[in-house]
Amino acid sequence: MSMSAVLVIGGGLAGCVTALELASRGIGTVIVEKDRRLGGKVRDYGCKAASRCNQCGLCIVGDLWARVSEHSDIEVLTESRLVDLIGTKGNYKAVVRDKNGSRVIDGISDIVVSIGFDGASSATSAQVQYSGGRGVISGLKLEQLLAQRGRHGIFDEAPSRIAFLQCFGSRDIQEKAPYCSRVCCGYSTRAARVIRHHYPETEITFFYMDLQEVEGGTYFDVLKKENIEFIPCRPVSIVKGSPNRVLYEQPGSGGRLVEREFDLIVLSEGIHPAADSDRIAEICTLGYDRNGFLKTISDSGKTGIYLAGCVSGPKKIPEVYAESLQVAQQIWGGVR
Amino acid sequence: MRIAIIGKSPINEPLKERLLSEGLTPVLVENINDILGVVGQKGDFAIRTRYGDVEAGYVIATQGPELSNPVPEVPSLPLSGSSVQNILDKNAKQAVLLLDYPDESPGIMTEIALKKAAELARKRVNVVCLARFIRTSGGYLEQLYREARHFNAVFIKYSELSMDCFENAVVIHARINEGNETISIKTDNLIIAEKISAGEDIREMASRLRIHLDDEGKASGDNPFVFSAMTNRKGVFALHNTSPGLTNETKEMIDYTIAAIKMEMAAGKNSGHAVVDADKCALCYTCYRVCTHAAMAPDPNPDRSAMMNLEEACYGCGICVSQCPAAAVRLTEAGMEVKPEMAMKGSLKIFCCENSAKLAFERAKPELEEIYDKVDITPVSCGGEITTAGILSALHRYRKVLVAVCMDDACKHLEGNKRAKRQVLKAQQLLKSIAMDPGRIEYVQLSHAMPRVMAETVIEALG
Amino acid sequence: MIVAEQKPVKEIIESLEGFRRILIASCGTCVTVCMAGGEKEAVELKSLLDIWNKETGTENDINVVVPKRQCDVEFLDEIAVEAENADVILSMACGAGVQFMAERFPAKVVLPALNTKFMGVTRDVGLWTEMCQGCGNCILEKTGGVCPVTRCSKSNFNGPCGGSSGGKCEIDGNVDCGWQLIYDRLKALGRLDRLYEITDVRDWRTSRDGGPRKVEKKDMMV
Repeated sequence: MSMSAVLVIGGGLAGCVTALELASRGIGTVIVEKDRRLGGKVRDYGCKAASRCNQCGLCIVGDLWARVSEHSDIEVLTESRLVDLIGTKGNYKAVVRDKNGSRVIDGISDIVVSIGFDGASSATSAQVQYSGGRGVISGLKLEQLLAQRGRHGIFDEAPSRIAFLQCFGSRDIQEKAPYCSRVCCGYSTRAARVIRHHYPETEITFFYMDLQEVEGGTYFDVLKKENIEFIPCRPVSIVKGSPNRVLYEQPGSGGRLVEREFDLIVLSEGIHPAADSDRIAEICTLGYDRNGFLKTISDSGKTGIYLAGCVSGPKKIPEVYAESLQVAQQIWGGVR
Repeated sequence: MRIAIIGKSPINEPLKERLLSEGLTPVLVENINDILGVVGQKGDFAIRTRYGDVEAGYVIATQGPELSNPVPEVPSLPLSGSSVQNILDKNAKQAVLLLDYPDESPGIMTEIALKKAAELARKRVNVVCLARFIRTSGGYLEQLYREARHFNAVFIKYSELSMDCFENAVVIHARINEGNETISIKTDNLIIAEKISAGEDIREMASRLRIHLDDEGKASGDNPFVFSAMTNRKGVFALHNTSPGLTNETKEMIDYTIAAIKMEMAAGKNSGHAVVDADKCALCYTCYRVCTHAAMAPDPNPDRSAMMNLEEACYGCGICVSQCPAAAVRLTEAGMEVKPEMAMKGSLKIFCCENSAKLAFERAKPELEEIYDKVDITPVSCGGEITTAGILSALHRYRKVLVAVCMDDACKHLEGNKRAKRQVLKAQQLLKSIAMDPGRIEYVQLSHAMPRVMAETVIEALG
Repeated sequence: MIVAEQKPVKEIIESLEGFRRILIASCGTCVTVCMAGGEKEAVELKSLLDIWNKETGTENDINVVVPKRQCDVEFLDEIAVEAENADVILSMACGAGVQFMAERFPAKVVLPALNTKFMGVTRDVGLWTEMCQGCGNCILEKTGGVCPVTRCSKSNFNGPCGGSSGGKCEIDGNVDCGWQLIYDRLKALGRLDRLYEITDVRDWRTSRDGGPRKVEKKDMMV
């Protein structure tokens, strides 16, 4: 590329929003995306409206991916990875590799690292399996089901008992994730409300620790009024099968173990640092915060390296959107 | 560029500092009772006050929320006040923090409680924190929770609670352990998390600024397209008017607001907007009232006795066009037009909102391959553009009309989908009144992420 | 302004039966503001009639004109050609406009599309209420700006009747008692003493009971 451009590493929500905002100011962008298509995780998410909108934030996305793909000032390199980065602010060179080999991209003024996150269930040994309305699935899989839902339902065969296991891979020192993932209470309770809307008879049970703030005032009571059961504990173990079995200590019973059967178990998985974090941190000279997410070591304004999105920690969709616009504005403000 | 800060709030000072450091000029209008209204558009606002007009390019409303004691009959200190200093000054040995009573406290209260619990515990005060939820979804809060516990602050989760008072002491009875145990705690140092509500002040301010608030007083709460500090008026921001002070979240909101102002300052001219035909305009003020973005105002030009569109405030949603009784407004980029349909394909006409239904339709195309020829799509910028006349006009040529717009509470323009529904109901009623089948007009609400719902609706409409 | 409401569509269609060339004339002033007979309603009506005609196989030729008002003859002159080429004119103006149209085009059948209701104000988008009945002898000075002719269901002149309860009129719990409004207003203004003046029996000849009225401004007539 002959003109000065911005390199965006990761073409998910953060990367695309930043790129589009920069491109709309006439600043050329190159997006390096490891998958075959743009969109990251968000692309598969489903709408959480029951009879009315439940403010999950997905609408902000709209036709973002198409607009990015079609924009003349954005070059999208799919199935590509960043291999090396040399230079300083205003004058970077990047080495990018795809299935055909490596190439050098010159004349990069700034870099946006937006590699996103990995879901907790991919890091653990819990295998995800699903068939009809049965099985053990991750939050992401439930999102996909919601996205494909028709007018009359979500599942091919309605499960009669569903369990949500909250804080899966979050608030857990053993899982090396001693933090709250911020988004799971929101997406899982909203998903539960959609399920309740379509299936009034299905039992829905949440195994939880706390309910983070999703909406104001009396959200917890609203959920309970919709006949969603809340059990404050983390299960001891899950035994997959038909039906699945959840073993847990009955709260308030002094440690008595109880087993319950569920047709479908949803692991409300948290947000873990992306698998690529180590590699990208080394290439781009980034550090880690105490939860393992990336952070900048020096001021982005000086280095020209910016972080956007969940690469730096759990964020909700509107927060990622707002942050990405800000990053674009900082870069654009600097260029001008 | 002058930025007006309207309202009284502890964040005014830090906000002023940030604005100055960014080369912007803050102008303070603290007493909202002095304000009669805010007219104009992004880049060119006039804040009408009793003492004259204050001009500003952008407006940030910061009026703080009302903090009230949810249990005034019990002696206590407010959590977000200087309760820590009070306790320490008294040389108290014990303090009890109470959250989520009687309603869930917002997450910000957990943050404040954790900080204060840690501080008191570090200073050798026995701290007991009673809450229904420990909300640690902010980045470092989980660590703060551990720190407080490390200093021996005790956190107890309760499901129900009642209190008795004896002189200055309070006895709290809490059901814990899933209701299997009741504990009683006596304290004369009770700190209660206040109830945060949008007081009359905020509602008054919102009405004078013509910004829309949700039930909790947040400017952006119930609309997924409007987020962080944005409001329904371009160039007017509502900065964290539901928090009692400066927190991490507030700082982020200030950052975002300043970035947003800079982006707006640099944004190009608005392309799609409304235009008023001065000859037809009856100055009935309907467009002024129905516009959710405050983008219509009387034309100050004495030669034109008409309303005028404020281009920089306008989103081109078309609500004014469909509601104008004099047909005096049009859009520069209109989707919906009332004309005898020219030779177009198919037997089903779909009027679909481009924010939701149109995108869902595009995603559903693979499923709709076979029937694609039988369907004719007219995308509109918002359900607000849709008119009864347009629907009826389409029925002249098509066997059926499907109106597809956004879900309740999901309209980018707050009410466009509701307006579309009214127009559909009216059209159906008119059909009924001439003994025709109102089922020829169908209506669906969905989001862009519901392609199968769209596909099923279209296939069913085709019969 | 004058507030009117559109007649039921069925009634309009029945009255148009047998006419082939129909001219719909909206009015761009009062009935536009009260959303009964403006251009928007005219176009909507035409769309509906087009469908009706298609379904019933009726051969009709419907045109729409949009004069600014129908109570000043110049606006009617502007549509003279279209009127000439029509068999019937459906006027969407208030009763005054319909009649004026009929006077202007005496050879044409002129039909009303609206029921004219009252002189009133806009309370909210889509809501209008009656405020004045044109009694010809305004006594708002005595009643603190609230009209007893209009706002009192019985048009009492010297205080409420026995049916006033909780500030509401006995005819409908949603209707304010006019005299309660008058009392409250005068009290707030500190002018309750005005109520001690008894109003004499009203001469209703200034109202429509004296026959059709006219107003002449001699200084304008040379």
